[in-house]
Amino acid sequence: MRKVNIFVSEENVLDITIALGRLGVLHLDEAEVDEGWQSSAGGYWSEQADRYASLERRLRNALDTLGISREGVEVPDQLVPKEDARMIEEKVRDVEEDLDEWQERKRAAKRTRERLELVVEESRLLSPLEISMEALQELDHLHLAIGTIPKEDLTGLQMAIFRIPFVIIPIFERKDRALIFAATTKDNAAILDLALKSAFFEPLELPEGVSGSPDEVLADLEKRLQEVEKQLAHLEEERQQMAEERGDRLLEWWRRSQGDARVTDLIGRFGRHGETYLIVGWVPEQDLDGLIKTVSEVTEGEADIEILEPRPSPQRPVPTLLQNPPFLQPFERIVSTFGFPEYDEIDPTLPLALTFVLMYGMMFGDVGHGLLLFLVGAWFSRREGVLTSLAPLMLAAGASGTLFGFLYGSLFGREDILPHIWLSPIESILPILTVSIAGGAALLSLGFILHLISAWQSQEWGSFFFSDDGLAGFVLYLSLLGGGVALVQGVTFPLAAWALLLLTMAVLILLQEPLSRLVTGRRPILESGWGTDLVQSFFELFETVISYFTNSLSFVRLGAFAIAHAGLSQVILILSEGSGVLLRWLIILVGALVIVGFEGLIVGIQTLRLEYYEFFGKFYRGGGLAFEPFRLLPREEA
Amino acid sequence: MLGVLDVPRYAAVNARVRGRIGRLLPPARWRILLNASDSGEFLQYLSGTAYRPVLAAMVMERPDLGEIERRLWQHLAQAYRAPLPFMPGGSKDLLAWLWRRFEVNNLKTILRGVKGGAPPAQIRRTLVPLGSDSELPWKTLTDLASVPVVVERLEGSFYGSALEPGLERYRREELLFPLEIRLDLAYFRQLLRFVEALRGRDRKEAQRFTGVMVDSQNVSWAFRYRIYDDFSPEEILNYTLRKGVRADASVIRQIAAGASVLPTLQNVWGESLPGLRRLVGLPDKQALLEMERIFDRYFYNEATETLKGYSLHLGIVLAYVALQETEVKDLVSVLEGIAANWSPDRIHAYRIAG
Repeated sequence: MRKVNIFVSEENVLDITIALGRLGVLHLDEAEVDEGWQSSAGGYWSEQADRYASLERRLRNALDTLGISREGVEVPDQLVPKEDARMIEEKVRDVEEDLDEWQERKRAAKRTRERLELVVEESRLLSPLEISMEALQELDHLHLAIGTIPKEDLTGLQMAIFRIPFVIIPIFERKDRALIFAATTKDNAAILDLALKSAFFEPLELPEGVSGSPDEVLADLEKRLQEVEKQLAHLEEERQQMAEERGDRLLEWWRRSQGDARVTDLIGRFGRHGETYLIVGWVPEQDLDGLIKTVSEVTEGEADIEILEPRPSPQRPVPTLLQNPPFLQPFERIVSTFGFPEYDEIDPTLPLALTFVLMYGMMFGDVGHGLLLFLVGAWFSRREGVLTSLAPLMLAAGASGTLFGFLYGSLFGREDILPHIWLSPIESILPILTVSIAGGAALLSLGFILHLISAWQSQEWGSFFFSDDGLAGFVLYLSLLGGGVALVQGVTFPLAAWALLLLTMAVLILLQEPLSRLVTGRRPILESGWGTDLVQSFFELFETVISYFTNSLSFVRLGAFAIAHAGLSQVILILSEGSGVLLRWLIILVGALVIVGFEGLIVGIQTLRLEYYEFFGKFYRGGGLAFEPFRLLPREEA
Repeated sequence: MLGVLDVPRYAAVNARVRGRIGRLLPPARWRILLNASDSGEFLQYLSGTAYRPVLAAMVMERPDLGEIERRLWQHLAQAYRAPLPFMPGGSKDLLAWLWRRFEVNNLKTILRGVKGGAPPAQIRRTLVPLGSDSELPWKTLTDLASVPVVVERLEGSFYGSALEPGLERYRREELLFPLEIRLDLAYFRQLLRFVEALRGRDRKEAQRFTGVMVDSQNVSWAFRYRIYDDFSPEEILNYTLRKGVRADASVIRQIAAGASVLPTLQNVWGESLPGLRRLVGLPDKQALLEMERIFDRYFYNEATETLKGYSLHLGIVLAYVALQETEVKDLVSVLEGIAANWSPDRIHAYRIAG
């Protein structure tokens, strides 16, 4: 990865941005600038970017309001961000004015229709009573409220009123609201009104100019309703006409605004000094020549390009571009699920891929089940869906399971068909568990080594020498491991020297913080006094030693799952015995599917657990930034 | 009951969640953060962690506290989205809806800003950045001139439908309360619907986390309306959820009728809540403040317990987001403690996970 600083004149900045956007190899970074420079051009360009973003949104709204699809619209070849805005704004304003006015008429018509329909229902209910609607509000002993409340609040309202006698009659429902009659005695009017108010009750009043008996009111309302329906039909015709007349132009302006918004936003983020712009970014080494060529061509050699070595720091991370061969890319996803590698950090994809496949196969070793998993992977790889991305992993895991199946001599759980090349897990329990732990110790040692390499590369000497995953930790781990093995094997060794080695490493880890500060020159050597630091470090050391044991023993699951797999397969075979031919094969088939589906999955989870917790925990931080080159169009459309 | 196709999905979710749990701040980092001398140093230390992407754009020397806090909430919002692509149907809906809480809070901020006449740019600075995950036109909303126009602009969306019934009251009273409570009630009702739609273990787990969250919010509202707003029992019942997981209308009615905090919590949750004894003898106002910490601690404990067990269910995801939320709340406490020049020990005492 190389950092490039491109100095370009105002005259060329637009063309170069569009060209770089089309090239798509530059990961834009913030400009680190000297005095007199602005770290971002901002100003005019940011204003323009806001202007275009706002235009784009307004056009999108207009298109949606008119019911015009935005699918499959091409970006115009020529973008002219300095001129497009004025032209588009004027036109959009005209369209919006028409649309606002149309929408307001539609909203008003709909509101009127809704209200009229409610009053119609109210009048229908009251039509048998031969009194005027106004008189209902002036009863002597009864307090009556007529209006609407949100439908979902009706039950709650009835439950909320528990201190007074009341009646609530829902008479009509329209959309999300219910028309209700609510009544109580005059004495309790205040409580009812408060309860209704808190249930978002809206009193229903007669439209202006409508009065009389319910029948008279009804006749008047029906006429008004018909008029409103006519208005709404006319409004829909207007919409269709507007969409036909203006659709194509609106779509073209919308795409243009989108492109212009992107370009101006990018320029706004460049550094600037007077009329000179500074484009800062990261480019992969192999794309550097292409980038230089493009810049020279577009600016006719008038741009200056500075190429710098990457110097990562927490504040200014260097983006990481993973460059693994295609067959390792599915494993990159497992790595990035944990976290993307930092620029100066080891990419753990290759060791992860190797150990993942190896551990999976060891736990899932069976020729038949492995092949079945391989076939399932092959099937998923030909289909579209969420599991397609898992297909390569299934293929690798299935192949590994098959290979270990040969080593174990296991075919669908039967161990009497194929000879085992290595051992039969169920008959060699102790050896396979021992191998598992040994394999785990080897993987953890690899983790220690990768930590040392990583700390060396980033020159973190404190971590390299004194941390529990560093040299002191590694020596302590190997000493404990070696001592343990020697004791079990009955091999004699110099106990005093061994104890001294352990003690020395333990003390180094115990004092890792002050020692690290000492060797790296950071001061003060002690942050919070000897007492606090030592007590804290002691418990951390204790935890470290315990974790060495638990981390190693964690790998016992490699053997345990191999044994469980063989055991489970045999249980299925036993269950199938004594049944008729058809049932027997059905049990074997279902059993095989269960094993491949569920056990295969659990083994996958266990493998990931070993990778993430035991292996990655030793050396991998995963706080990196992925390389994402800027493009003219949003990433998903580019 | 877990569907067969849900198993691989939960396996993928589990892998992703476990990976993200590994990126939570370790004790050593907390010690460093607690000892930061000022917010700049705090930010510097935090930038070396999983929070770096959200903090990257900030000024390190003299950072604005509010801005840091909003970035931390942004990190939390992203944590809610992270497991979504792999999750099965109902659980996915629930998690996506839990994430929408950030949209609800942003909308309330906009309503308050617009009503108070704050400049659009100032309102925008106070929103939690939700990026392209949110489909709401935040800039347009902050540019609008009045509260009714904001509500009308939301027409057709869930929020528009939730707010619309409160609009007439807003016009009459010019108070945001009717709108805000409509928004909250609609949000939590929908959340409960998503919980109810789940089956088997997923439903139990959702009730254990989300159900308790909704109930505690409902109980808290009821106490606040009675203690601080002096609302009538009918109003308290109407402004709360009538159906929760454990705290239903009968519990709210008891609160409205004068029940105290401690017996109410004991009645609803028994002894499953940690630290209830702290409430003994406290007046209701103080007990109400303490209640929030009790629930924070409950979620933290439940989350850590859940992660020790069986993995293929929604509980793992809810436990992860609960831990992430605890971490963000603790970071906010630490940040505010540092700003107030408190000692590390004093700040530490306010940590939920401390």
